[in-house]
Amino acid sequence: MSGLAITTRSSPRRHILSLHGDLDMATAPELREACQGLTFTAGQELVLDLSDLGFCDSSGVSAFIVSSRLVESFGATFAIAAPPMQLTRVFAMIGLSDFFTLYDSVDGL
Amino acid sequence: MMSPAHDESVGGPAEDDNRPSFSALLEDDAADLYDNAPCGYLSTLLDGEIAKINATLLDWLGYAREDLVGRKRFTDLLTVGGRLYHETHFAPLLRMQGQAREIALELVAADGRRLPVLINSTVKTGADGAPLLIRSTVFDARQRRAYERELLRAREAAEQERARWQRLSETLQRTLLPPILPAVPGLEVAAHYHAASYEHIGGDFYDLFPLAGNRWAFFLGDVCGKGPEAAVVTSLTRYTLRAAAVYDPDPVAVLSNLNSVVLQQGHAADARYCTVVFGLLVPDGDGFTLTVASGGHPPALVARADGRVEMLNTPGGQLIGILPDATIAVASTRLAPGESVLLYTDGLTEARDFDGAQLGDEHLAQLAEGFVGRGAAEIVSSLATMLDGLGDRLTDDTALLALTVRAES
Repeated sequence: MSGLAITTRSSPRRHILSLHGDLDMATAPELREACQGLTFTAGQELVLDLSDLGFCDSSGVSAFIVSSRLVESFGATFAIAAPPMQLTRVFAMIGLSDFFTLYDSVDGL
Repeated sequence: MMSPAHDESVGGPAEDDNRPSFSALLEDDAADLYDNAPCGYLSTLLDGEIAKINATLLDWLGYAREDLVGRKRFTDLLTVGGRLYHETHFAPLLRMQGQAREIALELVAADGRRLPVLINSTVKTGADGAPLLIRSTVFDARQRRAYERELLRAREAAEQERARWQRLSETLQRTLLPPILPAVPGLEVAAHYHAASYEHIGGDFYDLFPLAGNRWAFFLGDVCGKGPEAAVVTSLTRYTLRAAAVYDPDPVAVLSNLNSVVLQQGHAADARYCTVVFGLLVPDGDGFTLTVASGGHPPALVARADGRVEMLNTPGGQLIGILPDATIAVASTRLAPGESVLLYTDGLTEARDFDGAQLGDEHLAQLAEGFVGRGAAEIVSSLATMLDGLGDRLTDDTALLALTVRAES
C-alpha cells in the first residue's frame, strides 16, 4: 500500500512538515492542503523533512513549487531537508538544484 | 393474526382443543401441499419417464396430467439446448453425486412458451442403495431471468459508454501525437509512444517537421502529471513549439518562448511544467549539424559510427513553465552517416526491470551500445519490445524518438 502521512511540528520560528510515504499524483494534494492549513508570519520558515519520503514523481515536485510559492506569499521562507538521493538527481536534471534552500537534516533546527 | 401462543406450539404436536383449525391445517397438508405447492414437483424413473407431477407444474406448462405421466420423459419438456445440457451436465451430476442443485433450464410449455426455471434434483434410493427414481423441485425463474437480463442490459450499456470514452480518449491522444513522422531526406526516423493507461492521458509528446532552408526541427518532452489538465499543457506546448520554431528556429529562443507561454497560462494552485528537448538539424556535407536545447530534460544519446555512445549533456537547463527567466541549456554536435540520436522521456529510465530496480541512465547507456550499426527503426523497435515486456511494471508513459543519418548508397 502506498500513501502519504504528514506530521507537523511547529514553533514560532518554523513549521516542520515530515513526509512519510510516497508523493505522487494521488497524494500531492495532501501536501498542498497541509501547507494551506498552517498560518505563516513574515520571517517564519517552512521546512519539509523528506528523510522518510519514498517515491516522488513530477506531481510531487510540482507540489514543492506550489508550497514554496504559498509560503513566500506570506513573507515566510521555504526549505527542504534530507531529500532522497533520487530526488536530488531529479532536481539537478530539471535545473532546480539551487531553487530550494536545502538542509542535510532537520536535526538542530 | 397469530397470537404468541400459536407460535409456541408450531414445533410440537397440536393437541390443544382450542385450536381445531390449526390441527386441521396440519392434517390437510400432505397431498394438497404436494399438488398446490408454490413450486413444481416432478418424479421420474431413472430413464426420465415422468411418473408423478404436481398440479402447479402442470398449470405452468399447460398440460393435463395424462399428457405427461407414463407418456413423456423429462427431456421432452426441454429445449434442444436444454437437452444437450441435460445430457452433458445434469444427468452426469445426478449419476455421480446423487443430486443436482440450482440447474437453470428452460421448460417448453404445451403452447410452445418457454419457462425459465431452476431445478433441484435428488436420486431416491431403495433399502439396498440402488437408485429408484429421481425427485425434482422446479422453481419459476421468470422474475430472476428478467432481472438478469436487466443487469446484462445495464452492463452492456455501461460497456458501450466506456468504449465511447475510450475512443474519445484515444482520439484526443492521437491529436497530441503525430500519427506518422514525415520522411526526411538523408535521415531514417522512428518514434514510439507507450501509453501506460488509457484512462489517464499522459503528457508525453514529440514531433518532427521541416523548416525553411532544408532544415528540420524536432522536439520531445514530458508534461508533469497526467489526465486532462496535463493534456491541455501538452497541446499548448506542441503548437507553441511549432509556431515558435517557424518564427525563430534558434533552439534557445524556441524554448524561451515556450517558457513564457506556459508560464502565462499557468495558475498558482497548480504548478504545471514540462521538460523538453528541442533540436535543429542543418544539412552539413554528408551529415547534419545538430543543435539541441534542453529545458530540464534527460540528455539525448548519440550513437557514434565507431561504437561510442555519448550523452548530449545540457547541464543547467531548467524546467519550462515555472521560472520567469528559466535557463535554457544548449549543446551542439555533428552527426555523420550511420550515427544516431535518441530522445526519450523518463518513463524509459524510470521503468523497472524484473528485480524492481529502475533501468536508470547507466543501463540505458549500456542498452545504447547495442544501437551501433543499427538504424532508428531497429533502435526504437528494440526499446519498444523491451518496454512491452515490462508490462505493468511500466507505470509511466514513455515516448521515444530516434534519428539516424543514412549512409550514402
